[in-house]
Amino acid sequence: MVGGQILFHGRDLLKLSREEMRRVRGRDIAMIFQDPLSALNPVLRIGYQVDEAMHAHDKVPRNQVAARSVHLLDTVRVPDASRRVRDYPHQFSGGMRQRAMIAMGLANRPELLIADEPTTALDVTVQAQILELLREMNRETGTSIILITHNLGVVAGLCSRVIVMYAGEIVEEGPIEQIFENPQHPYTWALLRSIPRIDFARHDRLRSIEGLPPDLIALPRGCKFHPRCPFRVERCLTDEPSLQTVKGGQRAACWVTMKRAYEEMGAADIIDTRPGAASGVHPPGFTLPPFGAADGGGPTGPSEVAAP
Amino acid sequence: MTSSVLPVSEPAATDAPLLRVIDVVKHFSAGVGATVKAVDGVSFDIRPGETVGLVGESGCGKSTLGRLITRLLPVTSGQILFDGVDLTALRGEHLRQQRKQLQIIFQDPFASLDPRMTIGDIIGEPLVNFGLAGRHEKDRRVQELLRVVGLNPYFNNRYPHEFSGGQRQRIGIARALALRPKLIVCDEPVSALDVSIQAQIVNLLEDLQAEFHLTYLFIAHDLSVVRHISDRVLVMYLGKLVEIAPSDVLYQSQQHPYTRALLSAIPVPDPRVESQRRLIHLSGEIPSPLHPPSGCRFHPRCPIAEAPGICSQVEPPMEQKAPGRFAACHFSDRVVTEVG
Amino acid sequence: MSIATEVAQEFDAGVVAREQVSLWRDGWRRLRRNRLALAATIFLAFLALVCVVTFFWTPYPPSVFVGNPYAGPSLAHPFGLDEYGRDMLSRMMVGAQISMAVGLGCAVIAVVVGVSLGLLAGYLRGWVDSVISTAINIFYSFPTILMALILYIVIGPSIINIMVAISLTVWMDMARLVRGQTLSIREREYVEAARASGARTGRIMLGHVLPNSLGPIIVQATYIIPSAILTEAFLSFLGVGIPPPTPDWGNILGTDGLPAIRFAPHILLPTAILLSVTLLAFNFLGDGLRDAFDPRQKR
Repeated sequence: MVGGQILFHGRDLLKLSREEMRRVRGRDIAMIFQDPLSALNPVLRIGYQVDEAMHAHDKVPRNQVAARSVHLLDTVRVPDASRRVRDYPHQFSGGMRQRAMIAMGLANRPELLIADEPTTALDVTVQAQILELLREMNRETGTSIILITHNLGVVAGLCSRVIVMYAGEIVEEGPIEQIFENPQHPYTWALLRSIPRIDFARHDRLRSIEGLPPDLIALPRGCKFHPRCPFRVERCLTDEPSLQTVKGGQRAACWVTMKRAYEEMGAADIIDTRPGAASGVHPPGFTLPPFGAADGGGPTGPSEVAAP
Repeated sequence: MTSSVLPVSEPAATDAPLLRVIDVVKHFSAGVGATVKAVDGVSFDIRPGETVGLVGESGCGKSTLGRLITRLLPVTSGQILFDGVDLTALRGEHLRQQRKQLQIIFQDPFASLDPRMTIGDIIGEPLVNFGLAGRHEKDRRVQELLRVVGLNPYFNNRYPHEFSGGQRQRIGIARALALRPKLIVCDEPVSALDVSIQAQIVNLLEDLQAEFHLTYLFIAHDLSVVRHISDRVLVMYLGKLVEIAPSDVLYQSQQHPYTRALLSAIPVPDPRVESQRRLIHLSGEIPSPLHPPSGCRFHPRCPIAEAPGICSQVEPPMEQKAPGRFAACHFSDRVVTEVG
Repeated sequence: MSIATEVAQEFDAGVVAREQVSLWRDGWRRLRRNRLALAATIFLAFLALVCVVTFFWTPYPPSVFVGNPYAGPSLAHPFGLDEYGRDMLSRMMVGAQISMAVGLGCAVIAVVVGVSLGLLAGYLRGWVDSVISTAINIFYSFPTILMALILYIVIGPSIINIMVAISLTVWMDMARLVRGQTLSIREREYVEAARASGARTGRIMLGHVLPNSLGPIIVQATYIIPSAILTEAFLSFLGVGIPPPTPDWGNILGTDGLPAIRFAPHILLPTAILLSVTLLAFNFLGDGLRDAFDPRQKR
C-alpha cells in the first residue's frame, strides 16, 4: 500500500495497528474467495473451522458457538448440517465448500462482505444458488457486499452499483441500470457488447475489443485504454482523464464519453461485422489473401479457398 | 441444415455425416470393483460444415467424450465412425494416419503448449510428424499459419511464455490447423481467457470455419457462447446426452427438464432481464458417476419426475420429439409448461 | 474508421510486449545472481582447468622421489613432500584429475542408465514399469559400500571398474526422479496435443518429456558428482580404490596422510580441504541450479 485512505465507518483502516486490524477483519469485514478448496484447511473439520471464525472475535458467546455453526451451515443450505459439521473439506462438493466459506464469513455478522469471484470456479446451476444466497443475506441481515467478478451477468443479477476497473484504475462507476443501459466509458461499452447473451437469438458476429489486456509493467501514457479505444482523440494519448460526473451518480474517466461518441463519431455503426474483422487478425477493410496461395497445393485439405 | 439426425432414427441421408458417434461408452476403473461411468452410451452425429455444441456441468463427461472422439482415450465400447471409418477399430499407424483429419484445441492455453519448444516447432510439429514439410517448407507454412490466426509471422522462434493467454490460444489453433483437418474438437477454447479476448477467439474460429470448411465440436460449460457459435446443441448430464436441439429454438422451448433448469441459471448481463429471471431450483447436487441413479439419471433432482414410478425405473430412450429435436425424457411434453 | 485501422496496426506491431528470453538463458541469468553458486562455478571451472593442465604438465612427476621425505612446504614444493619424497602438489593435481573423472563418469553413466530406464518406466507403465521399479528397489537394498567392495573384488581394481561400481549404486535416484517426472509430464496437455498431432511414442519421450525434465536431471546429476567423488575417495582411503602408486585424493588421505598426521599434517590437510571444498562447490552449484530451474521463481 503506497498511499490513500480506506475509511470504514469514518475510521481509516490503514492507520490501524496490526491488532486493531485483526479485530476488524473477520468481525466487521469478512472475505470469501474464489477457490474454497485452498481457502479451507484440509485437515480440520468444517465445523471446527466455522467455530474458529467466531472464537477469534468474542462477538458470539463461547457456549453458543457450536450451535451457531450448525445454524449458519443450515442457513447457507448445507443439507443435514448438524451431521456435516463433522465432515472434512474434501467430503464437501465445490458448491458446498463455497457455502461453508460463506457461513464462515457470516459467522460474526459482519457489516461488509467482500466476495472475490465467489462463483467463478462453480457450475452455473450452483452459481445461481450461491448468488441467490448472497442476495438473501444482503436483504435479511443488511450486510453490504462488494462483489469482485469478471462476469457481467452476475453483476447484473446481484448488484445495485457497479465500479468498472481497467489497468488498476476506476474507469466508470454508477447505478447498475445506468451502467448497463447507458455506459459512458468506451471500455464498459465495448465489454458489454463483446459477450454473447443467452437470451438473444444467434447474432451474426460478436463485437470484440481489439488488442490485448494491458501489460501492467508497461502501461501506456495518457488514458490507459487508449491503445484499444475506437473513439480516442489526440488528448487521450497524453493526458490521463479523471472521474467526472456524467449524470446522476454515474461517473466516467474519459475525455470523449459515449454520449459524444454516439453523437459525433458514429459509434452506432462503427462495429465491423464482416468476416476477418473483430477477430484480432486483420484491420477493418483488409482483404484476406487466399491461404496457401504460394503453396502449390498442399497434400491435404481444400486448395480452392478463396478470399472472402 | 434444418433437421438433425441421429444414427438410430434416420436412414443414410444424402448429406452423409462426417462423424457418427454410436453408443459410445467409457468406463474408468476407480479402485477395486468400482467403475466411473464417465460416458455411458452416447450417440449423435455431425455433418460436414456444422458446428455442434456440447454443454454440461463439470463431471458430466463432455471433455472425456471429446478425447474419445480424437482417440486420445480408448473407448470401452461403441463405435466412432469418421468419414465411414471406425476409429475405435484402428490401432498404431492406421490410427496415427487418421489423426490428420481430426484435431483438437485445448482449454488451457498455458498447459497445452510445450514450454521448451519454439512457436515454430510447436505449430510445425504436426507437419514433421507426418513428413509433410522439409525444414524450409515448414518455416514457410508456420509463418502462413501464424498470419492466418492473427499473429506476427516472425514470432516463430519465440517461446510460449512470451505470449498472453489469447495469443497462446491462437498458437494452439494454428497447430490444429496445420494438418488441414476436417473436424476440430474445441474443448473449452475460450473458458480460460480474459472476457475482452473471448469474442476475438470466437470470431476467429468462425472465420476459420468458413475459410477452411471446418466442422467443429464445440465443448463448453458456458451455454451463452455455445449457443452463439453452434448450429445444434447437445446437452449432457452424468455421462449421457439428455437433449439435442437446434440452437435457435433451444432458449424458447426445451424438451428436457435439465436443459430448462440449466438455461434458467445463466445470468444475463442486463439488470432488467435479471430482475425478472426465475431460477429453477434443482434439489440436491449432481450424483457421483460411481453410483448413478436408476432409471432416468436426472430423476432425483427433477421437478416433474414420477418417482417412485416410471422415471426411477425405466431409463428414457433418446427419441425424436419434434422435427430435429431429440430428448431422453418420459414427460418431455410437460417440460415447458410444468418446469419452473 | 481511420482510428480503428490505426489501432489495429498498432496492435499488430506490438503483439508481444515482453523481451525475448529463452528458458535456458533465463536460468543462467538467475544462476549468476546466486553468489554462492557463482563462486562454486568459478572454483569448479578453475579445478577443471587444472585437470586439463595436468594432462600436459605437472611441477614434478607425481610418483617419483624428488626430495626429502616428509619435507614441509617450501618454495620449490609449495605443498611439501610425502613419505616417499614425492611432490604433493603434483600428486594433488593428478588426484584431482582422477576424482573429477570418476565424478563426471559416474554422473554420465547414471544419467544414461537412469534417464532411459526412468523414461521407459514412466511413459510405458505396465509391466515395463514393474520390472524397472523392482530393479530399482533391489539395488536400493544393497549398502553402497558393500556393493562397491563386492564389485571391486569381482571385477578387479581399475578406474573404469570403480566408475561402474559406483554408478551401480547411484543410478536409482536418477531413474526414480525421471520416472516420476515422466509420469507427471505424460499427463500434461501438450503431450496430449502432440499425440493428437500424430507424434510417435519415441518422439514424445525424446521431444517433449525429456526436454521438460532436463532441469531436474541436471540438478540431480550435479548432486551425483560429489557423492561419487566421496565414495571413490572413501574406497581408496580404505585401500580398495585406485591402487598406489597412482595418486588419488582418497589414497593420499588414507595411505600417505593419515599415518603422518601428527608430524607431517601438510600431507593430509590440503588434500582434505580441497576434497571438502570441491564437494561443497558441487552441492552449492546443485542448489543454485535447482533454484534457477524452479519455474515458480520468476525473477
